[in-house]
Amino acid sequence: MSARLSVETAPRPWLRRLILTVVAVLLVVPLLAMLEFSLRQTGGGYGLEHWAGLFDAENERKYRAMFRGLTNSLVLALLVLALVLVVLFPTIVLVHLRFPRLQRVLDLLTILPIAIPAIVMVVGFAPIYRWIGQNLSTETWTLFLAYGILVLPFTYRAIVTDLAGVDARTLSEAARSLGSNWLTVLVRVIAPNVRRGLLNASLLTIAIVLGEYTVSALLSRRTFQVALLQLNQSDPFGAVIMSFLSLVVIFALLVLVGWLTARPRRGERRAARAASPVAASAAAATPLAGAAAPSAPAAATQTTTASPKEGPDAR
Amino acid sequence: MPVESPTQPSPATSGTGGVSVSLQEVVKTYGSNTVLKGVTLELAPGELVCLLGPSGCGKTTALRCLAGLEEVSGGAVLIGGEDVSSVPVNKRDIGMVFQAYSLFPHLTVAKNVAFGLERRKVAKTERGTRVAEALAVVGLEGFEERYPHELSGGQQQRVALARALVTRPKALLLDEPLSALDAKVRVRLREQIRAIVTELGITTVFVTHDQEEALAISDRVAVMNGGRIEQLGTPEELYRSPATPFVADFVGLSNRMPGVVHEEGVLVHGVMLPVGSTDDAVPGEEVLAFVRPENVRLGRSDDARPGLAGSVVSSGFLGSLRRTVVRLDSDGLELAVQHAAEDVFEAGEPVRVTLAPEPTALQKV
Amino acid sequence: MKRLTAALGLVPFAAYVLLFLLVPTLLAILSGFQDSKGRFTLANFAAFKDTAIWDAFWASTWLSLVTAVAGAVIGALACWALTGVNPDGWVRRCMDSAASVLAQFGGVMLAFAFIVTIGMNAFITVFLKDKLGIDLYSGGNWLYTVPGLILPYLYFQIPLMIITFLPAMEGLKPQWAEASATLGGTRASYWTKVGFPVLAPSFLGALLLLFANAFSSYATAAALISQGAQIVPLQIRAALVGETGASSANTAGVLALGMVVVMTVVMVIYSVLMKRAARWQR
Repeated sequence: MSARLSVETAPRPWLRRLILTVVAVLLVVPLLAMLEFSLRQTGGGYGLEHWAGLFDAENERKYRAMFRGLTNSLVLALLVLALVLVVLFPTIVLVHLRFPRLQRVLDLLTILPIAIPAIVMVVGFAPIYRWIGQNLSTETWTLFLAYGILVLPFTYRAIVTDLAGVDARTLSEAARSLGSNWLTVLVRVIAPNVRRGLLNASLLTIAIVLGEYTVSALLSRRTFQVALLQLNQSDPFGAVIMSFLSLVVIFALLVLVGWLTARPRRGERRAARAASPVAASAAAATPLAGAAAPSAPAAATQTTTASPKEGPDAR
Repeated sequence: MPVESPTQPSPATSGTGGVSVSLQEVVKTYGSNTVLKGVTLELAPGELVCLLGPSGCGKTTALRCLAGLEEVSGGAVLIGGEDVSSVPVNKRDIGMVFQAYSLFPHLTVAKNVAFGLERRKVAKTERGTRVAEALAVVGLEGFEERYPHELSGGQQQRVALARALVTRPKALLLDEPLSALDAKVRVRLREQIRAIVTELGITTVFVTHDQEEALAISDRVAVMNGGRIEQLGTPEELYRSPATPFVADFVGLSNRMPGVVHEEGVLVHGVMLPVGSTDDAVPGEEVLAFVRPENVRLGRSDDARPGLAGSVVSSGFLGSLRRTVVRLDSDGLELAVQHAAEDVFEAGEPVRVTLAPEPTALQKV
Repeated sequence: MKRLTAALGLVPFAAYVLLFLLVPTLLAILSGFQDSKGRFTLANFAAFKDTAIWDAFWASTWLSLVTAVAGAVIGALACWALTGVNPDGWVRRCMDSAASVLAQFGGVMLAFAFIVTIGMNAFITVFLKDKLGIDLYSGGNWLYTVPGLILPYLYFQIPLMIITFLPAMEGLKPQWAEASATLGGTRASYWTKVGFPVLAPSFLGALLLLFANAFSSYATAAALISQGAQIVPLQIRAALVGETGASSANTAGVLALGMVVVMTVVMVIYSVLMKRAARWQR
């Protein structure tokens, strides 16, 4: 042990376990508290009363607004997803293949929704949605246009990180030389190769749209979160159960997708990690680093290929 | 075996002048995986030994055991005759150069080089002169205030070398220091490393997977395979009389030709070749003998000399020489032949080949 | 495909971004310079004469600063510990996913979580009061005030720190520690001379990001604090829903402008730090 002390940079095992346990407890306790709260019976003691009540047909009226909000949010998620796949994705590929010099512009544009708080965007959205309400529809689904902007930093980076790992230019030239048209290249050649990025972008879209409150509340649209907060006034148990469920479901989805997209093969581990939903959100959260160093992915690839090293790696 | 150099060693980096370094029956295991299976290696003071082998052979692990970056599971590591097996890496007084990216990115070249001196509490004024001298040794005067990201890969490795040498360590350990560089820079830098090591007389272990590199700069080469040293010898010994088929194969491309073992060597196509190591060869046994392309002579079919008849399959120009592949008429065996570039052979041309009676290694059939 | 035709392919996205990103941003900022009839005016800036606005900016700033510093320190410790676990193991995977969910999903739901954790009737509160005699609420009902936001904010700040700082932590090359050791350095001197200085820009960058995140956060505060407008986003809510008078949409514009100014300063410093970090990590 003593001989290794000065090269080990991670904390000693006992300290590592202590830190991780404390952090895990900090993160898990509020969730457990939600579970505990949801199991309280009206007459005291614990039971499934409120869980059963939530899906009881008799309470249909009580929860109608909440379930309508959930439905609205799911519809919104689908519409935003369509926007991402039909508008954003082709644009990213087109810029990547034909207008590489616009890449930086796109990088900067897509971090704006992080730099500009949603509450500020609302001030600007308000007159636009007043117009939409008067001329198009006051329904909740129209929000998908605003939401498309909110998810932009995350979806853009999820797709771009994956695209950077694929030699899309050569792929498309190969396909074009075989007589494929642009649409075929996009759908049959590029998309399958960045499916992990697209999957992560989709997952992030669903998570963000289902969790969105700021814009919908201030534009008076009925989304899941708005309905939850309203339900909380009359039935805090129902609101807590639904919150708990959605947190757990999204967590499980992230674990599942992370597990599915991780490729255990050596050497590709780095690339697989780069395309995980967490890494994509990290990349989105550190946007300027990406914009400042466009050559970073290339450097990373170089490191991986330049180290056919044995020794501790070969363990 | 330090080579005498006419130039005076620089006062900045000469010091200990080289001590003996050795690994004795070193074993290294990770769980159930044994990476080093008893490696013994003795370096004379001032000697440069290369650990050569394919990836996964244990050469880097052996070096890291020497450095103290890995604890040995068995055996001993000696530096200057002293058992340092339980001495931590930062007390072993060695200099190490890594594959790449080992310079501290936030420090200038001068501060990188001074890092080890600061740890040793060397006075500031002396630090300055020693850093300058170390940078002069690697030919980077005037780069003091640059940052690592402003340097080329070759320059970075030279700074790393200066940083490793400036503390006047007992031994210099290099872990594939050139493998991340371009071919041209690689050749230039390896010659520079050889010259510096010779000049300072520092005992040096150099890990590489490139056989040409190992043969070009070493006093001796240890060829490793599967956690063991297969052969330890001078580059000439290794090349001329490989002890095992693995060495023969790894140290330069070889032809494999069927032969029969005799008391005095192995008979291959009527030619008796001496055998480097005769350990388990039993007379009368049928084996494969390794024959290097440059030990095969190629002549025109109308040549009066005796030889094996064959025809040219292909021929390629390699710069100073030419490589031709010949198919023997007798058994259809294909032989690679290396010969002077002036002799041009056309594909399909009938030729005669003869084998030079050089030592060979055997492989059981 | 001709270049012109290809350029046409960019039109849908360009139009979309123009209409729903650039125009709203401009409208938000410009509305601060307009009166209720759309004419140019600087009168809205009179809002800044109101000390409540300054108080809100101040409250937003210190709330963001406190949660950013605490979140960054705790999150960095967690990242340090995570460098010691198998990157493909379940501990790491669960931590990654949990951090991702909590950092980005649902401010309203996090508010609920805290009401049932340390609210008046939450089991921890009741447990502390009944069994240990500690009354969390002896000083009044603070969960629904600005200091009460600290814990819920940390609940998304720590995870955000984990997902943003972990890549930097993993970018510390093992060769640096090994080189430091072969040069005679100890574990402590590695951290003071190499580890901390190399991580410093990334750490400060992450800290700024956390600050920006808390500064612009709205949902958690809105769910917990239904009355009053103690922080800037709640001031904007108050202005938008018209609690303070007729020209309130334009007051919201001025406040939005104030937020954009703060965010711009933060993001500019952030980008400078990140450029340095990226250069070092290459």
